[in-house]
Amino acid sequence: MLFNSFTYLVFLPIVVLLYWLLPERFRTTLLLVASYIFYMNWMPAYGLLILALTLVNYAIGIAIDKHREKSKTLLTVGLVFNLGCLCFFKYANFLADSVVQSVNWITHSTGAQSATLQSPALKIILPLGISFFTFEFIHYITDIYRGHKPVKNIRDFALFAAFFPSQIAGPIKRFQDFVHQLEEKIVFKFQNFSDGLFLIFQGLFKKIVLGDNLGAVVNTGFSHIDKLGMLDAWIAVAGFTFQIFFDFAGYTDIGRGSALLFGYKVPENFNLPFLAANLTDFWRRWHMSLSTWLRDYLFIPLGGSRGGAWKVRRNVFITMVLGGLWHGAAWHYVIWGAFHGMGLVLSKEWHDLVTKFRPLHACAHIRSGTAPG
Amino acid sequence: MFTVYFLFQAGILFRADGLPQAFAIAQKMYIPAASKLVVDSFLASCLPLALSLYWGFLIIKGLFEKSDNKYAQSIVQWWLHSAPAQTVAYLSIAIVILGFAPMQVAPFIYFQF
Repeated sequence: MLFNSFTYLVFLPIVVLLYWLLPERFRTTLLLVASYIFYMNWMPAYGLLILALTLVNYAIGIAIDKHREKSKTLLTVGLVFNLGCLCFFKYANFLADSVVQSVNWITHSTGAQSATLQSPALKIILPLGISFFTFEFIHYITDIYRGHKPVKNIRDFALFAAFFPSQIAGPIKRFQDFVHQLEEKIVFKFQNFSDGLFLIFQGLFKKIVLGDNLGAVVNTGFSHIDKLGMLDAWIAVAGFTFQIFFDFAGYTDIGRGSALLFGYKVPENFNLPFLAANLTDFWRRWHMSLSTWLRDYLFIPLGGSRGGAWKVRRNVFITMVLGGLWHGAAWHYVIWGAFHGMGLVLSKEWHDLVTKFRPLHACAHIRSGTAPG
Repeated sequence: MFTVYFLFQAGILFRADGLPQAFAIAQKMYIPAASKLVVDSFLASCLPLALSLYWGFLIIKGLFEKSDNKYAQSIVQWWLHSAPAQTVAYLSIAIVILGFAPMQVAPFIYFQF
């Protein structure tokens, strides 16, 4: 079910109405049922996948907390299970294609074989939102391993995993923030309702009016590259940067707005990213729930900012390459991630350089209109 | 400016169907040639008006939020507590959205991830 579809336009008011009419003790169950209907509306069988992942991660969370002496092994099992599911559904085709292409390239370049191998047609349909809810599960079991208490109520945990306003494309929630809200008494507030509607309409405007219209312009450019002039190419490229912002920020607004209609808050994902002072600042403002996830569960375990300059830059680069791969199972996403990793490393080098040479540092601040630190 | 320029270049890699297409469009950005196709498509769309409306809205919203003026604050308070005003405003926005919506509504880009 898409947020910008007629079905959602009918589905959301019904669920909101039922939610506020029902006695409080039934509301979490209603949201859980609604979330599964929302997800299974697309492909019913994949409802079982999210259910299975929920049950396994719930059990692992409890087991880690109960058997602290074996927590590392249990965490490893959990990580392998979650990443295994993600790899199978998302990267199996990509891996198979890459292996076949590599074998073909090697055999052709050595002249060992004249026939070309064909990629196996693995008919795996990517479950919607798997990249997002898998990351939420990894966050959950890792935080339990790090000492947090697991969620005891399986219904609350299942809703954390399946909550429909953030199920398909985030924001990637933290269980401490979300489950805490489930435990509190939620009362109807006109302010929440009003803010929620504001976010939903703002999101629809961003997505449908700005994002989709920009998409049409961008598609014209990218599908007729040979006919493009210089300004055409610039508008198509700049248009895509803003299209993806309006598309994703629109989605996030609708999701956050929908959650507010039930009285729940999900994290923000964007904070005026195009006003960022540099690339590091950009990643603090863009897709913030993913950036903080990558920082907490990839960059820091890799070593984070500990160690020498070389190690820190290596960690940043690896984090961004894997972040790129997370976005899609294709080489251009990996290169996109590497490009950002390289940009972040160079941005850090530049910052170190201007800090070293104070006069140049002051000059840079005068140009950007900020006070030197 | 350099950050935005960097993001444009990175965006090519993200959007392109593959590396050859990415290099082809990146090349076009630096070879002077008459432009018509995308420029015309942009100008013929509702985007100039829609973007102006959106930026206008952001500016007005920002001014109201930052303003200490008591009249501005009373308008904000009236808006926050007036269900009829909000109903009229949201219905108007719904009409604007429907009016500006393209013929084909696309799925969200991040749904593919």
